[in-house]
Amino acid sequence: MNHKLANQLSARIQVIALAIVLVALWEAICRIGHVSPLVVPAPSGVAVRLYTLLSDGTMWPHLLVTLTEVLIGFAVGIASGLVVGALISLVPVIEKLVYPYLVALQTVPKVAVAPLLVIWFGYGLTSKVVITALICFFPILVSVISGFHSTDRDQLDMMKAYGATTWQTLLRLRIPSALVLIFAGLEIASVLAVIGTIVGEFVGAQAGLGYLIMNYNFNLDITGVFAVLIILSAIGMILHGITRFAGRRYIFWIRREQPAVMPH
Amino acid sequence: MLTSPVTETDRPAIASRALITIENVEKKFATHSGEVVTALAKVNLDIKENEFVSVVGPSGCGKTTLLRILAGLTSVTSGTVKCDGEILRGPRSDVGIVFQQALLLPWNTVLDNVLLSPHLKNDRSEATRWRAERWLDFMGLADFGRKYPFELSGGMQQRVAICRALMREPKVLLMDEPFGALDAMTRESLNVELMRVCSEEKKTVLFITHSIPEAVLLGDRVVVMSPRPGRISEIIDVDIARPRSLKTMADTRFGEICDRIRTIFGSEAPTGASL
Repeated sequence: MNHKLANQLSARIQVIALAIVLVALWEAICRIGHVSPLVVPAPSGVAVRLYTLLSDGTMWPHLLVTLTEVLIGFAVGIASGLVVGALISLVPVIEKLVYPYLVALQTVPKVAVAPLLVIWFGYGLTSKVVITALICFFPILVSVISGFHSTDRDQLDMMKAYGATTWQTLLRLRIPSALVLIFAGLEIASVLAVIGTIVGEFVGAQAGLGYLIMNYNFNLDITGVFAVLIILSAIGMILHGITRFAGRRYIFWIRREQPAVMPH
Repeated sequence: MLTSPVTETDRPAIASRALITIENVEKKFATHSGEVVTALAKVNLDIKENEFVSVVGPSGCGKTTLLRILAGLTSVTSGTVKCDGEILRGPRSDVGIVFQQALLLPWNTVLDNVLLSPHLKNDRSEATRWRAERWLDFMGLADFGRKYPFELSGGMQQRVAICRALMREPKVLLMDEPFGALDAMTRESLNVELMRVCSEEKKTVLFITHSIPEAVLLGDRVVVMSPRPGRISEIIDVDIARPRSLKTMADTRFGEICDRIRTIFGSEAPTGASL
């Protein structure tokens, strides 16, 4: 047990060491090569900028807006994905009727629809929530459907032989079995959530980190763009981390090391 | 439809009364290509109360189909199955099943797995819980109630599955190659444990296996089945006194019965079959 912990710790240290080496290399190239901060800013410059943005209060209102959009959008995406997925999995008529349309809808690039959604739902919170929810919806939907289909047939027989009702089988067997795949879908969606919100803010917004990036980019303030990017990836990583942690907590019976789910 | 009521004169001796009656049971399946396969052809079998019946046969002889029919998981194409005088129409609450895989619910503790049947009936009483703990204790799993199935070995998981079946207080215990996936040592110890349960609890058991010695060691009778179409080729009485133990396997009589079953399989093998 201790040995395992030590191994994990040393792996963490290695990852951090690699990051330090890479950042140092980046700093060195910028300084030695006299790279213009209009192209690639040095990490030190980005760090200073990030500190100022956070300490002078410029960043916080935008961060709050984006965070609200991401969280509400993610929540709506989860809720709708779970409900629609469960309906499709458990009511065969709905699966036959609705699923083809959902697949057709899925092939439409959500990013391309974003301008429409901004026109329909305005420049405020609603349009970003809708875009985020839409982008999160499909991976969750697919994971719920495949989750429910993954129930072991022998287990279903066992429940039947033990006299379980359809409802009891659902609660005691099918939902817990589905959780394994559902959490994989949630992990993918957690990363997509941030992308969805930023896309929405790029298309049209008056506040938010995406709006801030557009603004800095317009003013050729590349150091500012990098600073915001760091905050954005931090949000993504924290959201992903929480989802993953919740998943491991919930589906503790899967003992094998879960492969990291890479967002596309 | 009610079957004829069981009167006192119908059952002179309870011990020898047929608890399960299988009459002319036939089961046909349609395969994906539309071909009809006869899994069971005209099977007749009476299982008496408190009797231990082993079923042996090669794969494809319909032994699992027979068990699934008795479990109420599969319907018959023709013929009737009666359990305790009633025609069988689905899973019964007085039948316990143990499958080849333990099929425990991985998200529930061992104790909750054993309590599955009472929980499904909303029985969460202290007395029931105590009974479950006693079964675990009886099976040598007293300290494992709070563990999860993945923390247990295959043999222990199968013991839990047996406890779960026994919690239904079944009259009939159906076992489908329950020890087939276990190593030989674990298998033998579980055979001994099963004999202990049956001698203390008076159960009627249908035990499916592909091991001839296991069938003879455990069974009062051994039903020998053969494939294509699945049917009973012979029923052999195991006239070896109980209690039996692993030492019974060294008896001359034990060897004779095993040999006789092997001869049946040998004579039934199609000519030219390479085995």
